[in-house]
This record gives sequence, structure tokens and C-alpha cells, in this order.
Amino acid sequence: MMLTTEEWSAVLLSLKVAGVAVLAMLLPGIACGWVLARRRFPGRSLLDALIHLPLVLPPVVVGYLLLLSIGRRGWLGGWLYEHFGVDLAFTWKAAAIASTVMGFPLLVRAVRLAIEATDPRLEAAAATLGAGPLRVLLTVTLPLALPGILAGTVLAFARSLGEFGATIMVAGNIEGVTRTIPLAIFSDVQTPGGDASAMRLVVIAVIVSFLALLVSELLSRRLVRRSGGAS
Amino acid sequence: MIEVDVTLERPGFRLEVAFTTSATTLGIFGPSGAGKSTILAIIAGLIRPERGVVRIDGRTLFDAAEGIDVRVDRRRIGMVFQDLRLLPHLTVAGNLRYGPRARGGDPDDLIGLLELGPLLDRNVADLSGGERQRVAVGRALLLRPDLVLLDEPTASLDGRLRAEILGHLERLRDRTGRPMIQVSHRLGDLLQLTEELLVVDDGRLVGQGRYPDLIQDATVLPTLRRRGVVNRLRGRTTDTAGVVKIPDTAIEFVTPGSDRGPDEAIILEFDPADVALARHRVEGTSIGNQIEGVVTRWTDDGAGVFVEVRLGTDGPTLAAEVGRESLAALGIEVGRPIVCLLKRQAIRVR
Repeated sequence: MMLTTEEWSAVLLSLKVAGVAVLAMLLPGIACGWVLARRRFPGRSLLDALIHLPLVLPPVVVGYLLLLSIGRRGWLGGWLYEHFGVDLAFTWKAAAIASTVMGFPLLVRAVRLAIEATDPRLEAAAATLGAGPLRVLLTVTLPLALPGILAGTVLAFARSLGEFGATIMVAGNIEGVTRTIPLAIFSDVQTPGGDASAMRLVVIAVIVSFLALLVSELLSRRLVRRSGGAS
Repeated sequence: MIEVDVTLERPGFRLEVAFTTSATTLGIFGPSGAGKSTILAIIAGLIRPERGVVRIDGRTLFDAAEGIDVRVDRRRIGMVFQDLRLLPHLTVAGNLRYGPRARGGDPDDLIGLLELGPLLDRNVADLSGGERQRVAVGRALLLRPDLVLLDEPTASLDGRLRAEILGHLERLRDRTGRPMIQVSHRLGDLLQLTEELLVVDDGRLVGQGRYPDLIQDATVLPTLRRRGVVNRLRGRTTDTAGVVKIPDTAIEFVTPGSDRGPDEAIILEFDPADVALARHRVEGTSIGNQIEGVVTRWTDDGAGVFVEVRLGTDGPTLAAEVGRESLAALGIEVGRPIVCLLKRQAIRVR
């Protein structure tokens, strides 16, 4: 199966956008997941709702809100352009930001469930051995929650690969710049004679998603075996 | 020196204990739900009481009035949890060396003492119950803590394994000299490992002191009695099978026998209710042990009379539980010579 230059560029762009999105959300995602799982504080429900909002809002609405923020006349975009000459809207960076926002709740949710499932009594035991809170987090909580965190990462990555609505609002559908696989398929289907190209991209999308799931499954199984299951 | 004076309020439970001890090994005894483990958790900093003070060797770990609450990881207290809590994603070596303070010093001695050497590379999930217990003990002691807390270290073990871990703990106590507090609902274990006892019931301290004194305390006795009061004597096996000699005395017990060879340490346990008292030796009887002694004191807690008898002239003491009506019949009084009758089958050897 041969891909055209345009199709290749859509595939590579998708991988780049999804990869950057996942890297960008990983640390804040783990932090939010941990906070929601282990801390009780006023405003916790509000934070929870805010993080999950993109999951229930129409993606187009999220995209529009992003455009209002990071567009050249938006509060953040305007400031960035004025001081650094950085333009985000309608670049691949905007696509990555859209993917980050849309995938974030999936990652946070997975991390939170994974951390909630780790035994706090083990954390207490580690503390009696002389480990401070950060060391307990890094050497006990996160390693034990790793399979879940990994699954959440893959889910967020897959979600990023499929991002459409928010991306088209804030990044547009510019060939070679912001046209990821879903946008390319959309354009192909709108173009007379584009069906074959659309089908090739569909096959690629299925393969990439499938591989991601497979890798995550294998990794988490190895991790579970290494930790000897929960005990 | 350990100073604890705390009050903890929880829905349906109130703990209020105050004690000071200079004993190196302290046992906390009481029925389930009495608050024994809670006391350990408060000392370790895992539970914060509403009020009070915790001080170890003059170092204040907690003082509600002063707003002092040293963080768990900075208390330098080693804890062996009842549910062990080995870190499942680490090997035995990883667990032993987890604590930052466990990496200084020379751990070989301790690892050898607990026979952990062959286990170091093993995954903790693959260990047997006794092995896991030894790893948990080693992990806490390797920290060179100011105080070691042991929460029911033998609860999950029975028979041989229990005797084995008790032996390990006894050697550790003698070799490291680390102060220890051990919680158990098994009086026998505490008598083997600790010099002083706290008796706790329903969130309150019922008594504190040496065991023979506590048995003679009518306010403590009812709590002790609920778990079965026990006599416990240290002896050595002799050339004659089943005969155990009490060291530094001429006293010998005839026991059901054991798998041990001559001149080995052995522990005899028997219930006070199995000891009968007589004014004179009894002729023509099936009873295997007739040991002469002197009444040193007795107490009556309403449910029965516990008579303390010193065996021989300077031997150990034992407790005999007799009916109140026997008291007069025997003419029990302090200083009176008396004979303890004990069937050999009533003796458990360990």
C-alpha cells in the first residue's frame, strides 16, 4: 500500500501532534490524578469538574474556547504575539494544544483510578522507613500505579490521533501544516475521487491505534508480573 | 526512656493511656480492639491523637500543646506491621535497603542473624510466611531506629514458624540492644521477649509492671485471665528424656518430652489451673511433678485465687489457681511451705 506525499505528511503530523500532546500532559496529568486520588481540599470537586469538562462539551465548543484564548486576539495568544512574536492559532502547535486539552481528562481519570487502587498502607510503611512524601510518591505510589498510568497515556494518545472538532476550530485544516489523519480523511471524502485516499488513511489509523493498544497491554502485563501482582 | 501520655477520640472509641518506662523491652498485652496497635501507630506518627505527648529518650516526637508533630519519616522509629507491608515491586534486598538510614552501617550482621542472605534477590511475592516476617523485621531494624515497634509479629504464624521467629527476635534483642515495644494478644510471646508489660483494655491502661506482679494485682488479673494466664519457665533438657532442669536450682520437671537433645534451652508452659497445691508430698499418685516451694503471696479477684509459689528456696515463681474454699483448707499464708502438683501432660514445651 503506497501513500502519497500528502497522506504521509498527514500521518507524520498526526504522530507528532499526538506525541507532543501526550508529553505535554503527562506531568500535569499525573499531578492532577494524584491530587484527586489522595488529597481532600476545598474546591476539589470544582477541579474535578473542570478537568472533565472537555469530555462532555462538544469538541467544537472546546476548540472555539481555545481559539478565543490562543488566537491572535485572544487573551493569551495576543500576549504571546505581542511579547514573543509567537503565533499559535492555525499552526501544528494549536493542534497539539487541542489534543492535549481533549486527551487530558482521559489521562487524569486513569491515573486517579490507578493511584486510588494502590494501597495507602504501603505508603505509610515507606514513610516509617524514612521516606518523605515525594520519595514515597516516586518510589512506591507511581511504580505501583504504573500499569494504570501507562494505559491512560495510551488512551490519551489514541484520543489525540482521533481529535477532529477542536482541532479544526483552533488549527484549521491546512494541508501539510495542521491536516492530521482525521482532517485528511474528511477532506478526501469531500473531494471527488478521494475515496481511495480516505480508505488508505483509515487503514493507517486502525493499524496505529491497534499497535498502541497492543504495546500498552504487553507493557502493563510485564509490569504486573514484575510487581508480583498486588499483595 | 519512653514517655507516652495521649488521648485519642474516634467515633465509638476512646483511647486514653499514659505510661513512662525505662525498660528496654516492653510488651503491650490486651484483648483485640483494646487499642494496642493504636498505641504503636501513635508512637510511629501514623495516627495523630487529639491531646498529649510522645517522647523517646527525651526527644519530643509529639506534643499537642506545643504544636510539635514530627513527621513519620523523621521519627527514627522502626515499625514491623502486623500485615507486614513489604513493598511488592521490590526484591528482598530492595525492601531491606529502602530506608535511607538502612544504607549506612554494616547490615551483614543483621542479615546473617535473620538468615536473609539467601533470600536477597528473591521477589517478596515468592516468600513463605516466615520468610516475609523475617524480611519485615530486618527492614525495620536495618534503619538503626531509636525504637522498634512490633505489631503482633507472630499473629500470622503458628507452631514451628512462630517459635522460629520468636527465637530470632530474642537473639536480635540480645545482640542489638535496641529498645523494643511489642504488641501481642499472646501472653507467652510477650513473656519470652519483654521484661515489662502494659496491660490494656478498652482503650485504657489497666496495669504496668512485671508479669508475676501483675498476676497478683486484682485489678489487672481479670484482663489477663480473659486470654488465659500462663506460667512460663525457662529450663534445660537433661540426659533423661523428658526431664527438664531449671538452671541454677535443683528443681526438675517431668515433661511429655521434646525433640531436643540433652542440655538444650527449652521453655515450659502450663496453666495455673493445672497446678494443684498440697500441704505434703502425695504418696502413690500418677501425678508426675511434685515440687516443693514456699507461698510468697496470693490474690483473689473474685473469680478465683491465684497463689504465687517460689519453687525450692531461690527458684522461679509460678502461679497456681485454686478454689477459694481450698484457701482455708490448705492454710495458705505467706511463708508457708507447700507442694505444687502438676501432671506431666499439662506441660507444653517450646
